[in-house]
Order: sequence, then C-alpha cells, then structure tokens
Amino acid sequence: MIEIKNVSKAYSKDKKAIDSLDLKINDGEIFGFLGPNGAGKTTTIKMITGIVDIDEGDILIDGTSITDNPMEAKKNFGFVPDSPDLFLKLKGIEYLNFLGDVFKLSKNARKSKIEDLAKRFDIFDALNDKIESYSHGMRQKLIVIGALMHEPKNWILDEPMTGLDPKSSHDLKELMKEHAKNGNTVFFSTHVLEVAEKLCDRVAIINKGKLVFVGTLDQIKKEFKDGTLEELFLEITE
Amino acid sequence: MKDVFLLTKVLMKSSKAQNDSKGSKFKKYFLILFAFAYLMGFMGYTSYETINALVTFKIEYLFIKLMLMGMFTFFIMQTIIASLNVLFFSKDIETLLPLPIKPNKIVMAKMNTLIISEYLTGLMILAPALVVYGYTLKLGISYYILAICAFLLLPIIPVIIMSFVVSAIMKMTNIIRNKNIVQYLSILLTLILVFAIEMLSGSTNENVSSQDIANSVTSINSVFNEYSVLYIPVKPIYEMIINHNNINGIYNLGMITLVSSVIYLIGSNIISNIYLKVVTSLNKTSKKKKSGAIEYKKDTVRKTFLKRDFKIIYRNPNFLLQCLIMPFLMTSVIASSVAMSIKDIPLQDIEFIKGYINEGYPLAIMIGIIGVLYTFNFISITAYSRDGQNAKVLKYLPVSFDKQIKYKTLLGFYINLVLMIIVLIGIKILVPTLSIVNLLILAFIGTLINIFNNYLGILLDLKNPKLNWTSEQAVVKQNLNMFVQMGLLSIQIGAIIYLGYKLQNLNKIAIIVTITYIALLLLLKVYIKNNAKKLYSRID
Repeated sequence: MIEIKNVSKAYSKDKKAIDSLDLKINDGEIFGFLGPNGAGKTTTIKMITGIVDIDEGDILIDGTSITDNPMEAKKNFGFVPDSPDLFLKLKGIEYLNFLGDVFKLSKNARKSKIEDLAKRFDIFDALNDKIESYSHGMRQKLIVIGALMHEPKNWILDEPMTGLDPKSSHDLKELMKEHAKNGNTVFFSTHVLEVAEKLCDRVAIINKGKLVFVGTLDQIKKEFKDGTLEELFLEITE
Repeated sequence: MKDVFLLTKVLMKSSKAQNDSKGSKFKKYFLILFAFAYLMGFMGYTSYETINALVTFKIEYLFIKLMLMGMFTFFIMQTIIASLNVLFFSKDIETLLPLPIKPNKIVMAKMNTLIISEYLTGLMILAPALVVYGYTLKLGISYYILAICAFLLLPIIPVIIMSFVVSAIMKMTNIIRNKNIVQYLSILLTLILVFAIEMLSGSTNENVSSQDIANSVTSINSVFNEYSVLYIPVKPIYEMIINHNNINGIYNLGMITLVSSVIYLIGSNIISNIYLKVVTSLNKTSKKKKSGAIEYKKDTVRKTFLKRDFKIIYRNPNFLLQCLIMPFLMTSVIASSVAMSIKDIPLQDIEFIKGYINEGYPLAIMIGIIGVLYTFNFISITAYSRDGQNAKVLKYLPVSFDKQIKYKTLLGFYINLVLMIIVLIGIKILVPTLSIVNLLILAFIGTLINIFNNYLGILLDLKNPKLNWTSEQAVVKQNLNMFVQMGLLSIQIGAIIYLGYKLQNLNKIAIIVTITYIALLLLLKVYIKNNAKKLYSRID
C-alpha cells in the first residue's frame, strides 16, 4: 500500500511542483497516474522512491515513511525509472547481481527469479552481454527484471511500456495484473490512456502539481456522461 | 560563418560538464579562479627561474622557442584523444546528424571547440610563461600584442592537422570503428608518448644551478632541432615574438595568420568530406560475445559496490586512463626520474642519505612523496560524477547514504594503498638503511592520509557533482574539484614537510600527524553521517 499524505514540493520559492497531493493506493490495486508533460508525475514518483525530498507531508510505503525510515521503505518497492539507460558498461547479469546483492537475495532466489523473468521477457540469452549493446526495449526489460527480482509488494513504474514490443508489453501487463491479484500494489505513470483505461482499477490525473481527478473508470463514466478517459483527460487538463 | 559561430556556441555549452550543484556562482568562480591561479602560479614561477638562468648565458630566446615547441607538441598529443571524442564519439552527434546542417559547418564548429579548449590549456601554461618572459626582460607593448597573437594562433595548425590525421585513420581503417577500441588505442599512444618524453627528459631532472638549467634547455633544444621539420609552423610564430620590435615581427604575423587561415579552411573542408561517411558507420557499442554460462554471484553490499565501480572504470577507456592508469603512470614517471638522477649523486652523498634517512625530515619528505602520488588519483573525486545520471539509482536503493559514501571511498583507497606500497618498497630497495619500524610508521601515516583524502574527495564530488556530461573526458578534464583536491593535498603535504623540518623527530611528527588526521577523519565522518541526505540531494 502506498499512502501519499498531503505532499508538497517546490523547486522555486514562487511555484509549487506538487501542491498538497493526497492519494492512497490500496493493496490489490493497479493504479494509473496520468497527467500532461510537466504536470508533476515524475516529481511525485521521485518523492515516493526517495530520489527527491518532500517539502511538506509524508509518503508511506506499507506503513513505513520514506522520510523517517527510508531504508525499510525502499525494501518494500521495486522501481522502474523513466530512462532505461542505466550502467551501460555492466553486463546484464552484472547489473542484476548488483541489485541482488543490494537486496540481499540468496544465490538460489536470484537464479530462479532472473531465469523466470529473463526467459519470460526473452532476454535470457543476452544477459552476458554489456547493457550498452542492448536495444532500448531490451534495456527496459532488464530494468523491469531488476525492479521485480526481489519480489517487492509494491511496484512503482514510470512509463514502463515505453520501448517495449507488443509481446513484452503484454507480458508486463499480465505480470502487473497477476501481482495486483495477489494482493499487492502497482503504481505506474503513463501517457498511453488506452493502457490506463484497460489496465487500471483506479486512475489519478494530475495537472500543474494538483490532483484534479481520482477514481475508478465507472466513476469517470458517471461523471462524464459515458465519456472516455481521453475526453475527460483533455477537458480537465486544458 | 554565422551558423558556424552559433553552432560552436551551442557545442561549447553542451560539451562542458554542467554545473549540477546548487551552490552559488561565487563558489563556482572561486573554484575556477583557484584552479587557474594554482597552475598559473606554478608555471609563472618555473618560467621566472628558467628565464633568469638563461639570461645569464644570453640564451633567453630559447625559452620562447622551447615553450612554443613544447606547447605545439602538447596540443598535438591532446588533440589525438580530444578530436576522437569531439568529432566521432560525443553524444551530440545523434542530435546534429538529422539536422539540415552541412558537414563542413559541423566540422568547423567542432574544430572551433577543440581550438577553444586548447586556449584554456594554453591559458594555464603558455600565457603565464609569455607574460613572465615579457616582464622579466622588460619588453614593451609590441611584445605583448604579438604574444597574444602567438597564443591565439599556435593551437590552430596542430588541431587541424591532428584532426585530419585522426579522421583519415578512421576512414581507412575498419578495425578501429569501435569506440572502445579507438579509445584504448589512443590511450596506448598517449602512454608511449609520455614514456618517450620521460626518456627524453630523464637526464635533465634534479638540475638546480643556472648552468644546469641552461644545459638542460640547450640539450632539449637540440633534440627539438633534430625534429625541426615537425615544427615548421612554430618557426614563424617564434620569429614573430622574437622580432616584436621590428618589421619582421609583423611580416611573420601576417604569414602565420594567412597559413593558419588557409589550413583551417582547407583542412575543415577535407575533414568534412570524410566526416559523414565515418561518423555514420561507427559502431559505438561493444561486440556481442557468444554467451557463456550465466554466473549468479553473491557478494556483500560493500564488495558489490566496489566491483561495480571498478568495472565501470576499467570498461570505459577514458575513466581507465584518467582514474586507473594516471596514478600508476605518474608513479612510474617519478620513479624513473628518481632512478635516473640517482646515478648522478656522488657516492659520499649517497652514504650521507643512507645515514640520514631515519631522521624526521627525510621521512616527512617521503610522506610528502606518497601524498603527491595521491593527488593523481581521481577516483573518489569523480565517484558520483562518473556515474552521471545513473547516480540517481543509488538514491532509491535500500543502502543508507553514509554507507554508500563509505563504499565509494574503497576503490580510491585501494589504488592509493597499492601506490603507497610500491613507493615504500622502492624506497626500501634504494635506501636499505631505512628501518622497518620507520617504514611501518610511514605506511600507517600514508594510510591515514589515504583514508582522509578519499573521504574528502567524495565530499567534494558530492558538493559539486558533474552528472550531466556529453563525453566521459569531461568528467575528469573539466572537473574543477580535482584542482581543489590537489590544492588541499598540497597544503597537507606542505604542513607535514614543514613539521618534519621543524621537529626533525619522526615519533613527534607521527603523533601530531596521527592525532590530527584521526580528529579530521572523525569530524568528516560525523559531518557525512549527519549530512548524507543533504549531500545526496544534489543528485537529482
């Protein structure tokens, strides 16, 4: 469960990047985080993951504050950043072993998890190559594997479908569904409204740092006279 | 030309490692000023001593000749790696190629950035030498005007010629289309050149009298004269400065300006003819190897951080050269200089050194030598900058920031440790009378200085990280933090040697130095522990 409690963040004195954001993402839920460019999606995700400090409010990951107890909170999530160009000089397996060491995974646990996910995403044979030789999509798959290999309860993904081929995108969506079905949390940002519409139990729309809508697809339809998510998105972010 | 000027401006802005810190502009400018003052001061002082020695024998003109030839050689060496990075392997290529800009304009703009970066190097080395020459010989305004012209004209020809050579090799040779291979080869070439220069000048070290300086300058001059054909472009610049007070100066200025302009225009056009073909056929990634068995290795967090840092350095040719090879290269250069000068020391002096070696002052000097070698280790000072945008990953890993800082000091520490062991073994071989106890005290103090300065390096990098760079070269070369590290280490070395000179007793020196370093280290660790989060906030 991820609880964002009245969080604010300002990069300059006169403008808040995030203004009093209040959200709760429940266990067993796939939650889509939407908003136009520069709305504050990445800043929010950076605050949830401890990359950026929170000015006001707090964020709890399974009840643990990312501000007060960051180490414990960080153990409770797996994060896929927006850019997959990480540690290009390392081999795929070296990157995964590095994360395995950091999350203190046993040799057997990491072996079974890496094999399972790498075969599922069809990059197992490339694990001994340097990441710099991977295509954008392969890098994205590797980052996803790295985020999921320690079996975190909460998945936080920033634009996770970018660069993935249709099969991998489908596989990731299936994994997300499966994860949520097992009582875990999936929180992801996306620009692809169709993905959010089909995949999410609930969505939130953020604009200029403020939460402008949060609810289920049924609520959207009710509030917007059977309109689509795209129509709602365009109207409230104008 | 307006397009070229604009493109040059854009490339210059994007090529420099952006200042990611949130510190004030004052701090940034102070750092730049400090770095420049440090090098210019050193260069100015050395020039002053050399010119005064040469004036005694009325051969001061050789100083200008050698400075120009030396800088010309330096520009050539520097352009080999720089032109590879700027022309073929910089990140901006993929942005520039789809734009409707003619290749010759891209090449001219890139040439301009190379020439401007040489001006910056020249500002630290050549400019103080020229100013000191004019000041010492009380030369008039005409000298300074022509010296400025010389400063501006000197890098143009070596940059164009070497860029052409590099481009031609890239065009003709298929095997070096891979970025890594090219960069490893250029490192090898640089090493060969450094060793060649060291061999060439080895016999001139440790000379102190005016006669010796004059002899050294004359012998270097004769070496340069043997290869005078390579220095044809330097001749008119030299003639221009020497004849600053007569018409020959103006004549040579006109000639070298014309020649430089023609070479610039023709060279840029020739390079641009091959540039597109080469740059579009480059292979920037490593060759995929046939996959072997996948190793699921388990390490401690400490070890995994250390291994990750090491792999990123040795798999990146620029980092390999600047962070791993450089400290060992400097050690070998200093060691070979010492070894070569030993043969000139009279036997009675050697006996005196052997008897005197266990005193406080020479031991303090040995600590100083170890400290000097530490100044060439840039691993900790670039620990986070090397990671670039990847440093963000460290922020969401469940490893506390102060522990990460500790792990990040390890690689720099181990490299310094190896350097120290090499130096101590070398000293023990050269001077067997050095007692084991004193050797161990030296090792202990050397280790303390090592630990402290690695933490200091990490702190400096975290205070002013350079995470947005377009080429790996910028991480070290454009990193002002390294001058701060050099400055701070110089102060420490100076203080220890002064202490040795004053106290003359190793035990007293060891106690004072140990207490001071342990206290400083504790203060630094407490500061890091309390401010780790704040320090990491600069990585975002």
